[in-house]
Amino acid sequence: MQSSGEKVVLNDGEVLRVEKLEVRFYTYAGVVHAVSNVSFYVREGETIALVGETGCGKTITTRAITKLIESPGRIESGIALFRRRNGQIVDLLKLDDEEIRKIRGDEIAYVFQDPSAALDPLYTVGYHFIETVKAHRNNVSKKNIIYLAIKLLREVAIPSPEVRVKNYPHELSGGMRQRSVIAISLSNMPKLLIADEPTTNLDVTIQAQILELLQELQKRYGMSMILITHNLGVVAETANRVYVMYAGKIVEEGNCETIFYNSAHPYTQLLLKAVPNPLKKIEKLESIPGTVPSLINPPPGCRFHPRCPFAMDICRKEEPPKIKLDDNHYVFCWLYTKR
Amino acid sequence: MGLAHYLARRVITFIPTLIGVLLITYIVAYAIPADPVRAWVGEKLLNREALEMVRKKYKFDAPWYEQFAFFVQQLLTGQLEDPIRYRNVFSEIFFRFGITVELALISFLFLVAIGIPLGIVAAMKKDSPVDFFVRIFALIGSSLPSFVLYYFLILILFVYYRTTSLAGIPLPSQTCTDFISSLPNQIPVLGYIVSAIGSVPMFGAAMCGEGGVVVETFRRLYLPALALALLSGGFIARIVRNSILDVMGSEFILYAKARGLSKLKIWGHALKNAMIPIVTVLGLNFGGLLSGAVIAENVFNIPGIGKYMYDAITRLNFPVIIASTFLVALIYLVVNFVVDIIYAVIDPRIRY
Repeated sequence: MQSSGEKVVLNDGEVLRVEKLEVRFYTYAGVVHAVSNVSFYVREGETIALVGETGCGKTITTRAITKLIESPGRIESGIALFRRRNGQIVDLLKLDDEEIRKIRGDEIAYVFQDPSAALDPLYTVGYHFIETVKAHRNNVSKKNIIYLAIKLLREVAIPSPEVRVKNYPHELSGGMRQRSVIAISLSNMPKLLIADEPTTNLDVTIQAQILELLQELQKRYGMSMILITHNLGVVAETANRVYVMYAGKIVEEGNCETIFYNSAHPYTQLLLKAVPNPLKKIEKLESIPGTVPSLINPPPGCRFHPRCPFAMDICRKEEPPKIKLDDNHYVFCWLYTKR
Repeated sequence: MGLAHYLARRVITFIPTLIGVLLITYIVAYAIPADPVRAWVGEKLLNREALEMVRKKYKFDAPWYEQFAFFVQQLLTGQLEDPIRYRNVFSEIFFRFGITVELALISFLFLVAIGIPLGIVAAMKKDSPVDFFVRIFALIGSSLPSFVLYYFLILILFVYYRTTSLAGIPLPSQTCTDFISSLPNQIPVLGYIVSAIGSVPMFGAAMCGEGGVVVETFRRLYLPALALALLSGGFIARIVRNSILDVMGSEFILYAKARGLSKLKIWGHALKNAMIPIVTVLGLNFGGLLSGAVIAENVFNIPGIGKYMYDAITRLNFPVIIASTFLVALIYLVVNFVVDIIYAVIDPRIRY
C-alpha cells in the first residue's frame, strides 16, 4: 500500500478512503484525463456529496471505486481502501475480477441515474432481486428473496408490493422504477450506497420523496452514502460533507454549511451564484463565463484558471496545493497560500 | 384484448394483402406484350381452333377484370390448371414445395450454425481479426453475384471432389408415400397435419423409418443449402454482433455488473435482449428460403418451387405464376406472423 512514498491508512470510523485516483480514457481523439489526483473519504453512516458540472468526472470517480470502468477507460493509479463487513481492509483497485464482483452489489451498491434504463425490460422486478441476492448468497431460496423484495419495496413506499414484484419494468411509472432500483440496490444491505443523480429524471415532488427515503433508509441500515449531483438543493438537504469537482479534479472540500456559507474556491463561489441557493438569498443568478475545458489537453496549472476572475501568473503554471483552511475545510487554490 | 383476439385480427388482415398481391401480379402479367396462349399451345399445335379453345377456357377474350375474377375463383377453389402440363397447379406446387422446404430447412440450419456463433464471437472480440473477418464475409456475401459462388462450389465439391450429386432428388418408397397420403382417411384432424408434414420427402421417409433417404437428402442438398447460407451468413453474423454490442452498452448491463452478477448471467441478459432484431432477420431469411431460391434451384437442378416459378415465367404460364406468387405471399405473411408470436414470447412489453 505504498503510494509515492507516503502510507495511506484507513482511520477509525472510515469506510472508504480513495487516494490519488487517476482515470484516463484512450479515445481516437486523444487521451482524456477524466479523473486526476482525486482523494476523498467516507465515514461510517455519513453522506458525502460529489458536486460539479456535467462531465467533471463525478460518475467516473465513483465507478472507478469498484472498477466499473469500461474500455477505452483505464484506472491508471490510485488506492481505494475499503473496510469490509468482516472488518478486513482491502484495496479495491487491486482486487481481481472475481473478488471485486463479490463486493459489487453486496457491500457497495449503486443507484444509477436513469431508472428506466437500469432494469432489464425482459425480466420482472422480482427477478432482479433474485439475481442480485443469488449473485452473493446462492443458498437463499427464491421464495425468501421474494419475501425480502416485497418488504424492501414496501419500505421504498411502493403501493401493493406483492403485485409490483411480479411486474415488468415497463408496467411501472418512472418514480416507481427509481424506487425499485433503490430497493434492489438495498437487497444485500450494502455498507456503502452510491447514488448517482438519483433524482435527476424525476418530478420535483417525487425528488423530495426519494431524498427523504434515502436518508431514512440510510439511518435505518447505518449505511454510508456517496451522493452525486449537480443540484445544490439536494446537497443542502442530505449531505454531511461536500466535495466540489471541476474538470476531473477536486477543488474544494468541506462541511455542508462551510461550502454554502464560507466557500473559498472561486469556482465554488461562482457555482453557488449560478444556481438558486437554498440556504442563502441571492439577488440574481449569474453564469460562469467561459466553457468547461477539454480534458484531452487540460489547462496547465489550475484547471480553472481560464475562467477564474482572480487568476494570477502562478495559476497558469503550477498546480495549486491542498490548503487547509479549517477543520474539514480544504481548498486547492493559490489565493490561499501564505506567500 | 387477448392473444386469440389479436391472432384473429392479424389473420383477417391477410385477406386484403393477398388480394393486393394477386392484383399486382395479374396486372404485371397482363401488361406483358405477348400472347401467352401461343406460348402454352406451342408451335406444333398452332391451329386456330385449338388457340380459340384455350383462349376461351382462360377467358382471354373477356375484359381483364372478368379474366382476373376467373383466375381468382379458380385459384380459391383449387381448380387452377397448369395449361402446359394439363395438371392441377396445386398438386404440382404441393409436391415441389416439399422439396423447397427440405432445402430451406437444411440451409437455415447452416445459416444459424454459421451466423449466430460467428456474431457472438465477433461481439466478444470486437475489432479483433475475427470481427474483421465477419465484416469481409458479410460484404462478400451481399455483393457477390450468387451464381458465381454456386458454380465455384460446384467446381470444387462436385467436379473435383465428387461429394454430392446434382441429379434427381431422394424420395421415400412408393409404399411409404401411399401410407402417408392415406393418413387423413384413417385419423381425423391429426391425420391431415401429419400427412402434410410427411409430404416433405425427408420427413415422410423419417416417418416410415427409411433413414437412408434422409441421409441421401442431406448429401444431395447440403451443397446448395451451404451456398445459400454462406451468402447471408455474414450478414446475420453482423446483425448478431451489432445487436449484442448495442445491448452490452446499455445501462441495465452496467447496472447488472454493478449488482455483482457473474459474467455468464450478464451474457444471458445481453443475448436475450439481442434476440429481438435477430429473430426478425432470421424470420425474413427463412421466409425468403421457403419462397424458393430461384437461382440456386436452377443452378443445382432442384425441382423445387423456385425452379417451377422460373419455368413458368419463361413460358408465360400465368396460372402457375399467379398461384406460386400467391403461395410466396402467404408464406411471408405466415412467417411474419410466427415472428410476431416469438416476439411476444421473448419480450413482455409486447402484449396484444
